[in-house]
Amino acid sequence: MTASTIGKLELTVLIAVARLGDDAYGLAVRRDVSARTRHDYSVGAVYTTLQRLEDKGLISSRASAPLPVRGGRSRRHFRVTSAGQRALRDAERVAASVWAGVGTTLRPETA
Amino acid sequence: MTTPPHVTESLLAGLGAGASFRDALIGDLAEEFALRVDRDGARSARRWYHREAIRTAPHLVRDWLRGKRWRGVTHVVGVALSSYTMLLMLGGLIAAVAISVARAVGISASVSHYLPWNSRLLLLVGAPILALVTTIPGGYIAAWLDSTAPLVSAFALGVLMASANVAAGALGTGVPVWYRVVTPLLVIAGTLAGGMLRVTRVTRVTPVTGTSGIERDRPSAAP
Repeated sequence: MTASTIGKLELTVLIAVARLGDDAYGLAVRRDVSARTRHDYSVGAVYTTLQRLEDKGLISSRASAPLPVRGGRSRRHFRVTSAGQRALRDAERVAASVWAGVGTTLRPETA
Repeated sequence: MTTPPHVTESLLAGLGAGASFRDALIGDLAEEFALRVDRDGARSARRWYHREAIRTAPHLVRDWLRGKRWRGVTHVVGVALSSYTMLLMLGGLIAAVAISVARAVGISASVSHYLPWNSRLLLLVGAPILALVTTIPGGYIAAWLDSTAPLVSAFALGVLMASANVAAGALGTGVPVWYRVVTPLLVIAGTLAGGMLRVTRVTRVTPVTGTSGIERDRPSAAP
């Protein structure tokens, strides 16, 4: 799986899962992605993307114990697989290559 | 009150998504709802929940279609046809009993016998209402027959019955245009209402635990 075969939202969600580590479940991922992209993604959109990443083997999931606050349902925690890590490294390499040579005044400010 | 709106939650559960996808998603909505009740108040949280449910519903239907493809479509068509047949049989049975009772009592079983001179107008108004009322049991039956995607099946039955209605309307003469448009829409609304009735009565949201196949297959997955 290379960076070119991952969509923009998929990459954003994959990075969020990597950043959140053990706390990466749907709601936390949605909050992180929405805050960083300043776009209010629906819960469904984030889960569909997570499902797609799981289908591609870039993340894996496990269910927690049922929680009362969720009406007795489990949280689904996600983690980046080794294939996902390779895809992230590849995406960063491609981004660095694309930005190479662009003057600092045109570079975006990063948080 | 930190429990999400029950009817909306039941409707989301009835859209046929896989158990793990559905429970994780509806669980997240419930968790966020509880947070918003504390932060913004119950009314605002309910408003958010309904808006989010509308945005999320297509993703649940998409998950139902995912992987099933034609198998899912043929299943729904089969359920729609079965429930249509059952509805016709039920209607026939009720009509037969009504006629038998009317004959036994000694009154006329013909509807036109009781209608006033402007019966055509009465029929044009009454028939759409009758369509709405009679299709509700159909939607209920379709949802009852399909435990995986009850609302999708109820909707499919509505489309099937509306198509039959449109075809019948095309053959008839002197039927107003508004009647040909309104009745099929009412038929679909009726079946959906029946489906919702079934789904809100029986909500089966089974918590799913365990790991995904990918994680089981890849024990060395990176942290």
